Amino acid sequence: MYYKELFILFIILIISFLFSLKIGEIPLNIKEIINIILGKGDFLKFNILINLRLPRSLLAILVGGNLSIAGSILQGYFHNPLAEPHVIGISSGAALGATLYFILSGGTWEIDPLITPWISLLGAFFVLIILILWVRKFFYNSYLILLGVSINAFLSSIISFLLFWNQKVFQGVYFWILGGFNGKSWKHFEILFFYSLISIPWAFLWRKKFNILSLTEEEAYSLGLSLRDHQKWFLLLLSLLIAPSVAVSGIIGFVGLISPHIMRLWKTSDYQWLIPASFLSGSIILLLSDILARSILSPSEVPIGIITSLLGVPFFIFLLKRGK
Amino acid sequence: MKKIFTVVVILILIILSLSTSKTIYPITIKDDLGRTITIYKEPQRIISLAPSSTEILFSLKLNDKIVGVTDFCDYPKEAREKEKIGGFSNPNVEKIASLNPDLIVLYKSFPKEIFNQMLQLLPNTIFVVLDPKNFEDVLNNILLLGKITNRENEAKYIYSNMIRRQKAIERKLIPYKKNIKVLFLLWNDPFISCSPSTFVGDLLKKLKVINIVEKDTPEYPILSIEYIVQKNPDVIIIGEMSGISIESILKKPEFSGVSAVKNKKIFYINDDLVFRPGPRLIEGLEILFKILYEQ
Repeated sequence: MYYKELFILFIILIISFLFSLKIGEIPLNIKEIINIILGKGDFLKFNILINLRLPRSLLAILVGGNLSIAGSILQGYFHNPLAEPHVIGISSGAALGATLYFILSGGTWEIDPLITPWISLLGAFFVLIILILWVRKFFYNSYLILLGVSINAFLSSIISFLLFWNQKVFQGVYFWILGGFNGKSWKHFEILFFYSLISIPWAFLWRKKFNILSLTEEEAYSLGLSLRDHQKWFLLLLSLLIAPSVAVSGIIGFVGLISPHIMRLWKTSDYQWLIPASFLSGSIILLLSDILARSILSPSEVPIGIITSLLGVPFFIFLLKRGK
Repeated sequence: MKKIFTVVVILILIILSLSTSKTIYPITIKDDLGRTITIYKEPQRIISLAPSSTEILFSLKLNDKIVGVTDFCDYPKEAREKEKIGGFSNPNVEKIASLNPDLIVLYKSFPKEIFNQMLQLLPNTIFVVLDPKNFEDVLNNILLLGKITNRENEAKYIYSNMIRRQKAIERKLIPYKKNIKVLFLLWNDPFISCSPSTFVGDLLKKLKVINIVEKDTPEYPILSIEYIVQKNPDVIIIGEMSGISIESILKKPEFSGVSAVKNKKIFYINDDLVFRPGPRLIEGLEILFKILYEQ
């Protein structure tokens, strides 16, 4: 089903990926890239391609893909087109973890950037445990979104409060939360890749199951399926998709909201299409945003979130209009 | 005989000063983080990752050796002509690498992630990390950078000039007792001031005045109008960049009882002179002295 469309998306992704490797302060052409891979480039170019652009681009692909899959599942799960990955509070948990780590280390310089993702994962999974424990007590599915929004608000004010008293780390935490791929290394990619090995195949295997999500709870029940039994597992899967992405790249908004919708508008809301398509479109959007973020005001980098909205919204509105 | 002796002493002093003026490489230094760094030859391509270090490097007459600065490096004028490497909290690593620097000067507030990446990308580049906390630290930073860049003469000249001017102020301050209460304003909506642990705080301490902000943290506290009225500052100093107008403070009815407002003792100062830990800090100190004691 829709193999042709998936193939087109895949080709666009590959082209964007090559662009992402080429573009930068030191432009590299395809021949040079091949030379470097064959071990014939100079040290600086080798390092820029292999240790800077490659992990950065791969990271953008995985983060975009993971967040978009999470967004597509959440939109169905909540029957709410506004749902996006950061709505259930997992991301705020990650941000709180990072904030605490910055503060306890004593400053922006004292942190080890490779420990930050692990501590923020701890924060995210702490929120996950709260969600799993509480969600059983709520009768309606929609309560989860309210719970998520409340946790978000609560944790955000804790973060703001902590930062107000520890202004030294304010800038560091601020830039961390704002998100982006500047300064990310292979180690960041490895962390996310490890989790993605579990979460992405899992999401793919369950893509038929997610279609149940678009039913109401009563309808599903009448088919002999209980959403309730799956709730815990859904939450775990969502956390595995969201938490590591946030842990390595901060809270990058909008891509998880918009790319599933673009794919819905293009073809269908069937999750058999939506899961792979969201992954690919999310990757493409984030990768292109990152290329723009580091080139439009070069040498300054623009926070990626600004670009994602700037790029995504006009396109999205165009599709919405056409869809009607 | 005495005359000859004096001449000889002077000659020896001149020779000594000449011989110490040149850095003989390799040298081993310690930066503000205590990292031991060995420098094998005079740096020829320097990147400065903060406006204050840019000011120090230019004051050491390194104009032709500086190859990159941040978007925020605007002083001296020549700094604006230099290649830009992005902002200081979100710089472009590729740009930095492409400038092929042999010395990079940065501060401890620099993002660690990007620092680690630079270390990997530029294994032969020297990184000097500064972390000044007060006026004295800035003086040492100037000496350190002078030593590293073979500009010891220039550094010592700036150092002694700054010390001399600081001592002059200290002497003028002898007759005064610590009783002027000062409010330094960075922003007016809400009112944001500086704690004693900031550079401005340090300068105010040196000028024997009472900063109405007593606690060290937060560094830049938000003050309520009530707090300001209750502390009743004698002088209000406003950072120019805030864009706060003196009129607006004078006309604020809540402040009508505040002594600084009653006596119209509200003044502007160029923020860069008191916030940037560079050679212009002494100008900031002198201007503050004038504001506080001579106006």
